Order: sequence, then C-alpha cells, then structure tokens
Amino acid sequence: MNPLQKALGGVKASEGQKQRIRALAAARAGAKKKRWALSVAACAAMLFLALAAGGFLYLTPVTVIGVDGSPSVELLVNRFDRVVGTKSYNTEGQAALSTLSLTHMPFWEAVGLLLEGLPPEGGLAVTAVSEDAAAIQAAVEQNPVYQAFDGQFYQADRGCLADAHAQGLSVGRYRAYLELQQYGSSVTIDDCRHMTMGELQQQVKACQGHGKEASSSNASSQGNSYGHGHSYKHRYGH
Amino acid sequence: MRTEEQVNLAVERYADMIKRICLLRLKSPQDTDDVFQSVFLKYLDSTKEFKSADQEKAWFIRVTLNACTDWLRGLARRRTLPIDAALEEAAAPEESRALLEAVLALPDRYRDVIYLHYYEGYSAVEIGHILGRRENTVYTLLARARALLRKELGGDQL
Repeated sequence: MNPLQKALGGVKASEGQKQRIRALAAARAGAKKKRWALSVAACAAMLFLALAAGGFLYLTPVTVIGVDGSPSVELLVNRFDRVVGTKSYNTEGQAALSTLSLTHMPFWEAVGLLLEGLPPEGGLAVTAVSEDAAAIQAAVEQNPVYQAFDGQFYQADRGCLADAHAQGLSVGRYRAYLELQQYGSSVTIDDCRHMTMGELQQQVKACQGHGKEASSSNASSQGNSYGHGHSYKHRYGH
Repeated sequence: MRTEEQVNLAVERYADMIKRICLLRLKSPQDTDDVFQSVFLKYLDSTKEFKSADQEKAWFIRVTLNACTDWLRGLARRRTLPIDAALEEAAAPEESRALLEAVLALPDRYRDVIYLHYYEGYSAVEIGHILGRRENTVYTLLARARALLRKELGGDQL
C-alpha cells in the first residue's frame, strides 16, 4: 500500500449512500415492471377486444337463406358468406341437418349439400332474406346440384321472415302461402305446413292457370300490402 | 436501462472509488452525496455494453470526473472550498494527513492523474484513455504534480 492508498483508504461509501442507490434501482425496476405489466394488459385487452369484435362479426348472421324442397331448412349466414347457424322446419329438414355439418361452410356449398340426393321433382324454392339477393342467387346458381332442379329463387324481407317464424313456417313456405292468398286460394297455413314444396308450387301454378291471377296492378298493390317480400326471380310467368 | 442486479453489483464494485474521486474533486462530503447519486443514475439509464470489468470501471471514473466538473462549474457553487471537511471525511491516519492535504490542494488536472496513477494503479497510457488525453500529456501532468507535491511536502512522499 503506497502512501496515497494509505491516506485515502478510509474513504468509503457509507451503507446509507449505497442503500439509497439500491432503493433507487429497485424503484426504477418496479416502475419498469409496472409499465411492462400495463403494456401487456393493454395489449391483452386490445387482443381480446379484437377477438371479441371479430367473433361477434363472424357469428352474427346478416342473411337468412330458406331452402324449401321436401326438407324445410333455413341457413343463417354471416357477412363473410359462411353458415353460422341452421334451423329445420319439418322432420325431413331435421333429418337432413342431423346428418350434415354445414356450419362455417360457404352458403352455396351448404345449399348444394342439402339438395344432394333429393328428387328434383319434389319442388324447390330458395328464398333469400338479404339486401343483396342478386349476389346470393348468382352464387347458388353456380352450384351444379342446384342447376339440376327447376328451382325458384325469391327475395323476402325481415318482416316476412318474422311473420313466417311466428306461424312456425320457413320463410319459403310462408312466402308461397302469401302468394296463394293473393290469388284467393283456400289453402291454409296449416295446409302449407304439411304440403311438400312441390305441391305448393303446383297450387300456385294452378291458380295462375285458372286465370285467378290478380291483375298486374292488384298484384303489385297486394304484393306490397303483404309487404313481406317479392319474387326476385319468378319463373311462373315465363 | 440496467437491471436492479447490475446496479447492485456496480454499487459493490465502484461505490468506494466514486466516493474517493468525489471527495478529492469536490472536497465537500455534502456535495459528494449528490454527485455520487447522479453517477449511478447515469449508469442506471445507460445502455452502454461493457466488454470487460476494466472498461466498466474506466467508464465510472470518466463519468464521475465529468459529473464533478459539471457540479463545480455551477455558478452558485463556484467558491473556494475548504479542505478541512474533506480531510475529516477521509479520516486519514495522522502520518498521511499532510500528503492528503497536499493532494487536495493540487489543481484538478494534477489531482486526477495522481489519484488514478497512485491509488488506482493505472499507467500513463491507461490514464490517457480514461481522460481522453495523450500519453505524453499524462506524463507531463504526473511530473508537474509530483514536483508540486515535492515542493509542498519536501522529498518524495509518494
């Protein structure tokens, strides 16, 4: 030890000085951890919100597509054109849905799967409750299974859908019932419940054939009066 | 930013050295406390990576010297500091008091090189690196510092 080391050897940082620095470091580390935890929590909250919003958007149906052949089924479709729910309105529909898994499938594929194995002569009505029925019709008509049917495509509104459900009918059958009422048919709601779609369509055809068709002005006003929907593509007149 | 563990380790390694430099430079135990804390704050916030403990130690010396210079540069603190408080704080043995008093009375630039060379054991080259001065300048500073001490103390006390 040289003289200077001897002279300054007694100079040492006090424990108090050291402790203040340690406490400062601990406080800074604590604040950093807190900031980190807050950041993680904020990110988690944002992720949760994004997932919740995404999930909500995905799971919320914006379109209902009624498929009425011998089975009566409605497909609930989200804004991404995926089936997010199904509902059957007769035993055939129930049987079809019990064997098929249509959820998350594009609706045009789901319609094709529902129609597979059905006799084409059984009648078919596809009814879209949507503002963009033209796009739905175009997509459904691309399906080769649908093309084998002499199907009819209709558009209906949400009021018609709500009334149909209130009567325990699918929107497609209820729309056919309203059309028959327009011709003054005696077919009742209960009849519609038990008739096949083919039979209902034949009834409509018969009404039209027997000149019971309302005048075009009447049809127009009555169509508006039942107000629930209109034929988007009505082939009877063709 | 440094971790708590890194700071605690640095406190163990360098706290005494920083206190010595502060005392030699500031000659005031009260001021020492503030600069001491500011040096560690700077370390806490620094992201500089050190390749070795030697490099880290040199960084502490440089930062402490600069912090002391900044402190003394403050207009309010520009005053002649009595060295009694520093001598008292150092609690040097009786036979060393004269030497310490003479070192404390040296101009800053001489005091720094004397401390680094005689207390910390750095060579002139190393001191040059730490202080950012040329080796020859350090030799000159050391020679002049020794001459002043000899004149003050009579003979070679170091």
